[in-house]
Amino acid sequence: MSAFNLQNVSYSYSQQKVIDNVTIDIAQGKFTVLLGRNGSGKSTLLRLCAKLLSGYSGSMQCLGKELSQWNNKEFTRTVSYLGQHHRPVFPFSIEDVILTGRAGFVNFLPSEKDHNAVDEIIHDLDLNSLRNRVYTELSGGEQQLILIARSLVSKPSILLLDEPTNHLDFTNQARILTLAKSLVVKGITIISALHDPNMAFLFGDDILFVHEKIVVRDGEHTPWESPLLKKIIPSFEVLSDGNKSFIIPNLV
Amino acid sequence: MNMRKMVVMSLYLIPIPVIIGSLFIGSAFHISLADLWQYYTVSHSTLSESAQIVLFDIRIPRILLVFLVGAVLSSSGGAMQAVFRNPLVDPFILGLSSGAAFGAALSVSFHLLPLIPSAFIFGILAAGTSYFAAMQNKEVSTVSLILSGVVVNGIFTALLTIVQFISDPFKLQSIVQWTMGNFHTASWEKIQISVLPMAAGLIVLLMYRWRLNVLALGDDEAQSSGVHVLRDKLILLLVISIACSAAVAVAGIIGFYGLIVPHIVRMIVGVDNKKLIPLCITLGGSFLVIIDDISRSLMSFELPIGIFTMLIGAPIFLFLMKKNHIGWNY
Repeated sequence: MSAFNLQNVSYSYSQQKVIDNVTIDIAQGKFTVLLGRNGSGKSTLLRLCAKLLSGYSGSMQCLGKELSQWNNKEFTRTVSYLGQHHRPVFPFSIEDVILTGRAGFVNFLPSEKDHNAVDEIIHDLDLNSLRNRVYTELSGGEQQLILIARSLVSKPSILLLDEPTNHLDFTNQARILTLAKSLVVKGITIISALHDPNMAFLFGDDILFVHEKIVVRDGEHTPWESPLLKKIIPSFEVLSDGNKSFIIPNLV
Repeated sequence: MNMRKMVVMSLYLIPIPVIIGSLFIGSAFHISLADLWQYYTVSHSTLSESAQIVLFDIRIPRILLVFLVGAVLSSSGGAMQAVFRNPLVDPFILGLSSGAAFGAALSVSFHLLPLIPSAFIFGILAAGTSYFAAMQNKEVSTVSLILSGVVVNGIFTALLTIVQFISDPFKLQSIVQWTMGNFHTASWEKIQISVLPMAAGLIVLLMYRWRLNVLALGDDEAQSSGVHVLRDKLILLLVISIACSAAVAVAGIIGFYGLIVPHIVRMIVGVDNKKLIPLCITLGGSFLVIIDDISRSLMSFELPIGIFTMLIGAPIFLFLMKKNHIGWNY
């Protein structure tokens, strides 16, 4: 069974089509990357998968069940979504931020079990050093780690990440993506939008090219040889050392 | 840590000494704790009849009403700031107070409806208008809600001005007095009318106190972790509007109280709404009782409490703001 199966999915924001007749299958247990430029529709696709947008046409199935058939709370326990540009307002403690990820289990007040889940995830992700800090005072990379912990505290089987490495320095980008990769090893399905092709090729198991409202997979070529990549990045050079290939901007 | 816990615990209990202490404050009669003790343990005749009236029919209902109103305004303010993700809003942001003032003025000048129901209805009407004006495709964005609130506020302020303009000086005076807060008319009857909506509001806010944390993080974040954002916001705004309209209808406009108290409480216990809301109730209620004690005992005549909440509350707030580092991002 696939994590997500989309059949002829289209979506418009007030008249303007942003996803146009997309049919794609996303497997479980893999690190799937949505690679595309800014404004290509990656975020919309992820928000559709996260059940945050209604009014699409076509069929969207998550784990074999149509999205509209999913009970909201049950869905949020199965699929976690981490959006782009989170702007915190209140200086919450990091435990309070992570605990909000348990909302799908909580009626009104979180229980002992929810607090234990927070302790567990703080331990698992090795975040003890941040424990007594305030969320708004953390660096961008640390905030992103906390938000990933928040997404994982509901113990989801699918994690949707929208540009998780945005605004992060090189080391932190690698740190976040390595963490994501280790989650995939533990059996979590990750679907992540990225715009850096090298990071995508390095960490992704499956690359989906998102270009001008459509989403396609190239089964025939390696990603850096794919004609689809040329559509996204019109001009680049490939550097190869035999094992790995990297692309760099064409310097004229 | 333990010291801190003790302080927080004692803040929950602060209403008890404040309410009891306030019973013995007042210019008319000097009643002491010993007098009250004797009244209950020895004989009812130890208090004169007029002292009994002052205590049981004037001071007690007044203190209770002030406490309720203070609790409602502060906890609603704290909840609104979380719902709007904006530390600058207060319960009156949707135009509720100017709506209620207009309703009260209408009643004073034209006697269409009794004052309290009139103020209550127009308060709700103003908040409801703001909400529906801000609604687009079944979505209500925070910015459009604040904007429509400002506009509705302006409309009802203009209407209020018209009524004030055409009213005779005596009516004008009572309208102005009403708008500045009027606990001197507190009575058991006022408590009876307003206790239900106010208590219901406090209970719902207490129930939702943790979920406010989820909402305060952002719409997408809340929705994707299993909270029905639109529904929860509607429920919260509805109960807040009803409770605050009731508070304004019986007490007049006590400006900025709902803005300042949540911030003071945050400086004590932090931003976690699970702790913030209960403490807004106990501290917000107690603090207003103390301010009311001052306003009714400082001078031989009584100044409206709205003036004191500003003159006492604002400097305390500014002092705490300077002294405490608050981690606001913007």
